[in-house]
Amino acid sequence: MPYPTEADLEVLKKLGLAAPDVKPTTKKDEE
Amino acid sequence: MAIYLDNNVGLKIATVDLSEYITSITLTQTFDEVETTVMGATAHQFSKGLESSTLAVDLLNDWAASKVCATLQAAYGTSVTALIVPVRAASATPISATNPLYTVSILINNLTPVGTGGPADYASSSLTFTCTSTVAYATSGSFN
Repeated sequence: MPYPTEADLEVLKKLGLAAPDVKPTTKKDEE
Repeated sequence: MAIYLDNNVGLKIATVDLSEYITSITLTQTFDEVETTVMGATAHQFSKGLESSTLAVDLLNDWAASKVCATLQAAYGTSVTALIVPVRAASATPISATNPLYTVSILINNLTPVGTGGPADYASSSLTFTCTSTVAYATSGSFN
């Protein structure tokens, strides 16, 4: 699952915030 | 033993950390039970269907910039990412088998901006969001 998603970034844009560089790792990413 | 006091759950919605406003949170992982009973069966048979999880969260309504109300309003009508961790640290929360990270997409389809509560209460919201993805469980990664 990509993170942040386009929808997440759209919310941040509305809030006037920059996208974070923190990204969770999912099991899929590890494989 | 890795039990924990339920007073430090972390929640991020659309990358915004709303943890400090949570008064209650429940992530319910569930999937449909699809009936597969056939002739000759002596009991109902079911198999796993689509995942149908929910995230229920009670929040204090904070109208400050980029906090509870602004974030949820900006996300209203869309599916955004929720990150949940059982025990959140102020920074660099360690993610492990005893403190896993849950990542899921939730549809923000209900808000109560003018929240519940009486004259003696802080205004709050009691919301249940439907998950629009499977719940990803990870024992590594980062929350904050």
